[in-house]
Amino acid sequence: MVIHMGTFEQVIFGLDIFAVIFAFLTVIFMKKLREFELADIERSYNALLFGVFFGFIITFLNLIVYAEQTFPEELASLIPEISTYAGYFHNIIFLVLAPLFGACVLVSIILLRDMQFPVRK
Amino acid sequence: MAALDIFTVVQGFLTIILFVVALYFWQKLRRGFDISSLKSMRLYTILFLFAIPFIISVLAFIEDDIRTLLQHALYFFLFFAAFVVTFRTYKNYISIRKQDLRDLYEQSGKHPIRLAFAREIIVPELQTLTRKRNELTKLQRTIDLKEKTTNLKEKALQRKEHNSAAKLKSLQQQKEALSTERNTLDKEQMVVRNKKRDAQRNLLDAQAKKAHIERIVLAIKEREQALQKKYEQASQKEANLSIEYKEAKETALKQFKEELTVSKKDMQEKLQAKLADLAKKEKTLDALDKEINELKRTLKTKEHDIAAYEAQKKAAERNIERLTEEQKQLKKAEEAFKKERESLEHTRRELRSESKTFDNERASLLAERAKIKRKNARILTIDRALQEEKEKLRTKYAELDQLMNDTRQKERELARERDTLKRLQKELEHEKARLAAEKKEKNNGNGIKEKKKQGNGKDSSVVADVKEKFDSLFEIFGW
Repeated sequence: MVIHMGTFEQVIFGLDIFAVIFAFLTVIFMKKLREFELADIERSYNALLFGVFFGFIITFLNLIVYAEQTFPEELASLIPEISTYAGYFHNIIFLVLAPLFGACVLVSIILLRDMQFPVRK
Repeated sequence: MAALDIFTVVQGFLTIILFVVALYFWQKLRRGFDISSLKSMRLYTILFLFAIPFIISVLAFIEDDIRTLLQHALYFFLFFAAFVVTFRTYKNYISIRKQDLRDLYEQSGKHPIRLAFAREIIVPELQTLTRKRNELTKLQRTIDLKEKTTNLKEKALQRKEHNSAAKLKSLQQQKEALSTERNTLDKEQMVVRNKKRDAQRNLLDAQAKKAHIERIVLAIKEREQALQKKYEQASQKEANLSIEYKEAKETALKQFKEELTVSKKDMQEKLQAKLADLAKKEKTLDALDKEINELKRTLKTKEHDIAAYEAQKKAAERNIERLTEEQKQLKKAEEAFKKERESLEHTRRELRSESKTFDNERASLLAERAKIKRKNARILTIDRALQEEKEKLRTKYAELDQLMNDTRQKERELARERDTLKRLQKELEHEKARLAAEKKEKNNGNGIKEKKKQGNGKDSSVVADVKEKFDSLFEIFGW
């Protein structure tokens, strides 16, 4: 399967733009929803919120990486070292941010386990 | 494969493991406990799906392009789903909250806890808030006053700065005028120097010309002397020749004489011309002398001018000194102004720090307000739970009332039955007494036997009646 490179990167760039917007909105509405959540699970919810925030950062850095691939000349004229920065961002996503996202979700569930929910009959 | 790539793959696996472990715990929690009270359960479920893009990123057998496309599409869909879920849940709960608040507002007039809640919780909080607001307004007022004073100081300083700038400007203008004057004087001095140099040069030229003319006069005199000598020699030769060749060479002598006279005339003419030239040169020399004298005179006047210029220069220097003193004073004033400005900056910084503390206090107040809001929300939830409990209690009370009514009815029936029983007992006793009397009568006569038989039948019917009543009572009580 051969995909035309310019179109392919543009599609991914478009997807990333929408992903960033929805991630940002998710973070905002999660923060608003925290008010209605049980007070005892606040710590767990905060950990989850933090994880979603990492998700937002991941999508944002993905957006920058694919923006550099879609409009290399335009961005290089603005920031000459953008290609090296994009490489660093790609590494940071997989080396740091993704494990942190997973760790936040895990911590949230562990904190949720400490809650004393009623036992299912 | 570079170490970084290996590390990246390892981190990808680690992420997947973390998500899988979290999913395992989540499933265990869902199976073991009733977590329906959790309002963002769906969100938790969606967030576990974020493991899928990471799993796809690790799968090497999928083509790179397809893998990245899948990953990014999944990111998009998952965040979209998370957004939809959070948005809808938030909408639902906000509408429920509004409804609850409306209910609370409408029904709170009747609720007895309302006053207690207001008295015990809201009033102290309000008091603290009003106290803080008053403190903040006081602080604001003091800050405003300080700002006003600083503004006034700033204005005064600006005015001073303006005055000093004007003074500085006038001084600079004076300085510029002096410098232009000095430049003109320098130029004049230069001109005078040039003229002096020219006059000296002219004098030197005149002296050189005089010397040259003298040298020419000397040469002419020498030539004259030589010519005189030649003439003397020629005359001597003439005399000698006249003696020796008197006759033979008379004509030649005549010719020679003629030539001599001619040459003499020429020489005399030349001499006269030379003398005229010399006289002319002497005249020019005199003119040059006059010119030199004039130049000397002009030099003297220029020297006078220079002296005047020197005096002016001294005056200018004095002015400059005065200006420098004024500049020094200005510098001092500037330094004082700088100091004042620094003090102003210091007060400004203090004001800024105060405003920062004010902002911090405001932020803490807002945080407290948020806490109070959260507490209110908690209290509202507790109230709601209490209301639910109360409703439950009310229903239980109603059930109990029903039961009480039933039991009262049953008691009433029992009492009625008891009365009938008592009545029957009385009747029995009465019958017994009557039977005993009949027995007595029987003992007295035969006819009494028949009466007894009749009496037994009646007795058995009464006992059966009592038995039935007891059975009905037993049924009522469930014994």
